[in-house]
Amino acid sequence: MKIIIKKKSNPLAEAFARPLSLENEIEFRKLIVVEELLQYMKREGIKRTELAARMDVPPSRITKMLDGTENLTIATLVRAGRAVGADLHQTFAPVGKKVRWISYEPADVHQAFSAPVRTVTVENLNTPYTLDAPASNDNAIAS
Amino acid sequence: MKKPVEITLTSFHIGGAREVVTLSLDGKDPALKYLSKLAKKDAAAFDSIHTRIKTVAEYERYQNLQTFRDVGGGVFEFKRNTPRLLRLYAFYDEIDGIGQLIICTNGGDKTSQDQDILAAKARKKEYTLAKKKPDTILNYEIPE
Repeated sequence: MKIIIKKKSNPLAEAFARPLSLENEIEFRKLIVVEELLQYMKREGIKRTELAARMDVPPSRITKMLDGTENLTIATLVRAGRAVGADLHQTFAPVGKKVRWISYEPADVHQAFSAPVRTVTVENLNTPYTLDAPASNDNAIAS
Repeated sequence: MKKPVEITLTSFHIGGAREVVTLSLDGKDPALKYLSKLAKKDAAAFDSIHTRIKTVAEYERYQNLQTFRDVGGGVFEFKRNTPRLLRLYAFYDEIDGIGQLIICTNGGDKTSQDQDILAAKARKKEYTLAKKKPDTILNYEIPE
């Protein structure tokens, strides 16, 4: 099969590039948080019936909870997470920015890299280094 | 000499795990037509499908079957019941040099669901067979 790559104006792609409305952003986040739980359960091999048993609720409650349309409370999400052995994590980022999560064992990360995670933003990383004045004698601080 | 089969994949969204494209076989792209018409004529319906596609593309294998239902034969259905009954059909694929894809075949509403599912399966089969032929031409269209 021969692949030919072409660039072409695409109004559909332009429509998809626009940010979601507030209402749809809410729906998107509801679906994502439920999907994160489902992905975790898939990785750990936990079935919905098992989640129902662990949360001590009927399976119909789990079906409703996981359809992605319900406005789940943080309390319910934390309870569901704990039932599958996970903690809920959340953050805010400027509109349009992407966020990636990593989970790690604190003991596996050197203290120098683990402490200031909250302050490491892309802006910080992109700040150009400035050099001090060139060394003029042997006692000058090397830049 | 028989003319080689021509496939066109039109990219319209790049998610966290998969790129979403529409499928044109021999010049016909019903999914692109369906979504473009929705975007022009029914903003609320388009936004609801947009939200679903954006969600599914964030994952290599989406698990919420109430949103992206397996209708058999490797075809899945984006499902939306409000503001009106909407269905968009798609399947997963991977192409060397392009990556992990969700390929949209066609769309419709609840009234034409059975025929639309059959059409989606037929288009998937046609695409899969064409992909195996060495003389097939695949046009991969990316937005400017």
